[in-house]
Amino acid sequence: MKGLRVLFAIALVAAIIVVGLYWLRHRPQQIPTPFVTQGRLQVYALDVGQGDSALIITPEGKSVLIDAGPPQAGDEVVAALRKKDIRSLDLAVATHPHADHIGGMRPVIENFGVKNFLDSGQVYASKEYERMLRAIQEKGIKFIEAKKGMKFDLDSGVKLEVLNPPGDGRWITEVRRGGSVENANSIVLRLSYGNFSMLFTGDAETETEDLIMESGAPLSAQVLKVGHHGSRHATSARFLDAVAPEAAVISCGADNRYGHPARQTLDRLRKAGVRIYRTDLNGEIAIVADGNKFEIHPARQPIQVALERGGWWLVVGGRRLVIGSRPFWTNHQPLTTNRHS
Amino acid sequence: MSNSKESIKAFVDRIESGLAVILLSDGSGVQFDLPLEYLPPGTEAGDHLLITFQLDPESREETLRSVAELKRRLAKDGDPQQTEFKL
Repeated sequence: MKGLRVLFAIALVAAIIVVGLYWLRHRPQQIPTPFVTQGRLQVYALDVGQGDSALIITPEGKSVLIDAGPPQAGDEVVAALRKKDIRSLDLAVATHPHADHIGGMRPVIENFGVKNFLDSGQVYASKEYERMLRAIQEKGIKFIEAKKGMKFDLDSGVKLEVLNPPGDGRWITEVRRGGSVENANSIVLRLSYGNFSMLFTGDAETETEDLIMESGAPLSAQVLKVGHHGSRHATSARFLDAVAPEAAVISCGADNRYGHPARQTLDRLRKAGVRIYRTDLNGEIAIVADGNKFEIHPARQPIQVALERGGWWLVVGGRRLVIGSRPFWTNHQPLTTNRHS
Repeated sequence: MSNSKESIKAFVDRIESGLAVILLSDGSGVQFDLPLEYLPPGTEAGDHLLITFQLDPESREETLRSVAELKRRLAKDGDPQQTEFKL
């Protein structure tokens, strides 16, 4: 009896090693994860490398792009929008004038009819920013400078509220040593739809988080788009307390040189019991909400268990191994149920 | 060259698809790619370079002025008091 148990333990360890090795070898694979988008609010954290870009599509098809990644990601952002059947954008937002957020905006402006443009209103000596503004002017796009309290009414009760910058000529001017005034004055947005809400913080760090908390603005959100690519100077424990997110999305490039996301930020998120998704590991991340519940569907998952017609499957690095009844060489797509590891 | 620091020593480690992979010679590990057309004609792998940087305050001022002017023109059609937008 004891021998049997030892044998079982050895077999289990061997199985874990085999699965682990298999995962290491095959993890960059893309997993198809079809999910229902019809009649739902969709938010996509696009995979733009080291930068930031998020797309919102409302249940009735209105669309908002928040940032457009770095210049080299411009074509990818355009392709990602086309893939989602976007023909025009009801609103494009530049959270602040740094190139990892606005670099891809010109191809977006040139390829899609952008109806409104929301800018942080900062005056910054960036040639990239100057070119973006010129493109906005050439296309005659309605230009809005953000200030706290602005509300954008999309449809089906989907709302976008501006929480920062303060506006009317007031700016955050005091930042930590080594910090950035442009980051601190990022546009911060709260998206709400029924009981679902999500916070987009641009590259805002602690001083901005504190200011928003002091203002008493509604902050709670199920999903937090983590500030400044997961920098250790953003996403303080007190801010996490106030937002109380269930899931966090971090947009950063694989093996970036800036140490994003910081271990300290990941620790704070974990300590607060927040599920973490990262574009460098998960690729594009889709968040789908029906006003009550929300689901998160990352394009890639290191390990995923999927329920398919008639059987359970263990998906390892995009390859499906059978747990249930169906043999692994059949070619069915998983159904909508996904278990996140 | 009045306001530049002394030159930084670097070398072209290799050329990949028309991009010169440049490493600083000081062993700092700092590395960047530059299309060959930005380098002196005839630059090849193994060449050593002297890099100097110079601040360009006039260009900065000019860009600031241009950005401010663009913003002024872009914002002039909008109502600064408007806080509710129906998209």
